[in-house]
Amino acid sequence: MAAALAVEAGHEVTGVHMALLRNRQIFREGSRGCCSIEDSLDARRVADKLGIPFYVWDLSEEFADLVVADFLAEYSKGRTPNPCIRCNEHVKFEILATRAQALGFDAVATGHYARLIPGNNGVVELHRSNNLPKDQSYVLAAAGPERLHHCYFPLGDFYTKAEVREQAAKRGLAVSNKPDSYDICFIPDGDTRGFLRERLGAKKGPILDVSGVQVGEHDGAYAYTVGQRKGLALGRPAADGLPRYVVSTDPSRNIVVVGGREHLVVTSIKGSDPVWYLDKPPGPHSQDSAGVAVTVQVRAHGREVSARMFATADGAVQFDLVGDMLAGIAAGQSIVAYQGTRVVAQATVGQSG
Amino acid sequence: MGIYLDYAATAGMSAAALAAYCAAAGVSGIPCGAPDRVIGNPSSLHAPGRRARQIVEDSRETIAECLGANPSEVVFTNGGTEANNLAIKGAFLAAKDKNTILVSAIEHHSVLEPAAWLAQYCSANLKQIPVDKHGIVDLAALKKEANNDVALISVMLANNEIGTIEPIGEIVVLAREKQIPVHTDAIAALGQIPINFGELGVDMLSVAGHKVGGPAATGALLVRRKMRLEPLIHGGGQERGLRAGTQDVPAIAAFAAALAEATTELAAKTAKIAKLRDELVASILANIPSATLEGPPIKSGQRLPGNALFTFAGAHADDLLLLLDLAEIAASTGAACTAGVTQASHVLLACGVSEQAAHGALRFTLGPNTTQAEIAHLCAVLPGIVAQARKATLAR
Repeated sequence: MAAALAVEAGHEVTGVHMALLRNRQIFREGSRGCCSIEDSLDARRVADKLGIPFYVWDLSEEFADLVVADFLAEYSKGRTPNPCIRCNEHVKFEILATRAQALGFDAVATGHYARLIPGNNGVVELHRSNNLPKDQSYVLAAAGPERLHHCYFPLGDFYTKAEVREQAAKRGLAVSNKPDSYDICFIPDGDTRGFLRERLGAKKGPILDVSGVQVGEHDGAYAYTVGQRKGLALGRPAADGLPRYVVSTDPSRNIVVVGGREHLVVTSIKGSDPVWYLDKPPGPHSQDSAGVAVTVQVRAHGREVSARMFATADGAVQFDLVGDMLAGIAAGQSIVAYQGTRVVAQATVGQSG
Repeated sequence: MGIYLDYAATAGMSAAALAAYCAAAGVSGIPCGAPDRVIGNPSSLHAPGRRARQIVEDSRETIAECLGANPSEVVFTNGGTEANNLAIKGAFLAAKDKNTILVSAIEHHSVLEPAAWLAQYCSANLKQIPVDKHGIVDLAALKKEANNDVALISVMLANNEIGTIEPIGEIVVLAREKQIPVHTDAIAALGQIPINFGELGVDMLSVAGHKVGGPAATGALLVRRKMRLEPLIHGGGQERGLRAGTQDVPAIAAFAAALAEATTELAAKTAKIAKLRDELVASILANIPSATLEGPPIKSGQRLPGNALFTFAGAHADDLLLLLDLAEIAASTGAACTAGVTQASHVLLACGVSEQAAHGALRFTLGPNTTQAEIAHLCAVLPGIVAQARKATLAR
């Protein structure tokens, strides 16, 4: 559909499908991901209908190095990465885009639901899609304005899914009934913990409560995520009878700590490696005590809460929440700051408290 | 203006083939539904059946004549891949007391895959015979392996990727000493060099219609009468019981017409094609740095006239193809392309080309309609395309 709109807008378009996985089994059976063989055939059929060339680019090596290896490394450090964000940042809008530019293409168009608007001083503005339930600005933000400058999201202007489907049907494109995918494409059975255990090895260790008393056992701290409630296999209920959550993990000591919901509440989040979409990033806390008023989102399709955004002296960014608090934020997640529909900053969650 | 330089992939239907197809399908002003004109089932005994059989048998005779065979040696199949499958599996299954299959390392997948299937499911002992850097099969190695357990030797008449013409005559001589049947896949050679089944002395030979302007999914296996062969497709006993199923009469008529046209004045046609190919090779080697012609030298007499395959160090084939496509030039890597991901060619690897170089392989195959202007245009734009693809490699 994005390709059809790009063609209709008068662009010279070439379809490219990224082959990201080497495993044939996943190719054949894994209709969950965005990179299965079925999807490549669907895409080719669409390209043929549009009368544009279509090529498959084998980026499986790059994907294995930059996304899958990073995914394992981050988990083994007790962090919770988002591989789709990593793929966007390092594969789709970096390797694919660079290669396309070297071959003489001006821009990479994708079917993401987000809007790009030319901003002041040549810095491109990234906005939420008009179709808010489908909005993907959260997973695109890490790519940064320099990369997005060469991107084009023809679907971002649509308001509803029905509208997209109607437009696709009108053009005879039969892919309009495909389910949305929120799974990790390289874990086709959806069993993330099994995937990690197979590759990082099982390592038994204690589950402690916040006072340090052992309440259970786990087989690898890396497989637990702050905020996680299911799969803890705690024999006895908590004294107060309330559910318990993972409140912290320490892979170096192979410890998982659980506690009540109150231990998950976060009022301040520090983010590393900030990506700015502002002409002028905010000053440090001391100089700019009011900070910048923003809303922040910490999960794909998660809710937004209000915050004050500050730069910190060490080049990171800090968000002090005002009003609603957030719960269960894991290091390694992406935090994206908005003003209205516009993305103003993105960072990787470090400490929160 | 599009330029087609992928004739080895398929040649497109020729005018003669199309006319023959339409006549046999009843679409050239004679509706086949008119009762006295129905083209029936060639196995039926009535008049419409006889009309159909007439066309099939005329076509069989034409094809036999073009290929130096006896009409009774022509078994129609639904394409070249099926002909190769019938030869490999049929000969192995019929040779009950022999268990070894010898193939060259650069055979087409339609030979290698059925052989590998026999190794997996019927415990065949499959041996691949190496080739030299030009793709010529190692006769000494073949001779060493040619023992009494060999059910079949299969070596292609000419290679589809690098155009190497194999010494089939010598292979037949050494096979005869051990009474080993020989199959040759002549699909790439068809319409490129003269083929005489009788003189070659092989026991089976595969051809496909669409390489010479016939329809795809037409083909034949030439089989000596004494050759023991098990059919793969069982049913009504058509094609001497070797390939059941009602023949596709118009397609067979078109195949015969295309082959007759392609083999008429073959020497003159291929001389013209070879001249253009030689110009292309000379221009590319002179004007593009680090370009290598893979396979046999053009003047060696060991290469098909329409074939030129190059490697361009530092460039990737998929980038080259994309840029050529945007310039409206159709070429090929020559290698297997599974789901669009280009793989290094097993043919080039067998010839000792490095995996890295093999990823920059580009095949041009010329046909009877190729013009000097087309070659000149390609020679003009290719240096820029290779340079841009090399730049794109650096960006990877």
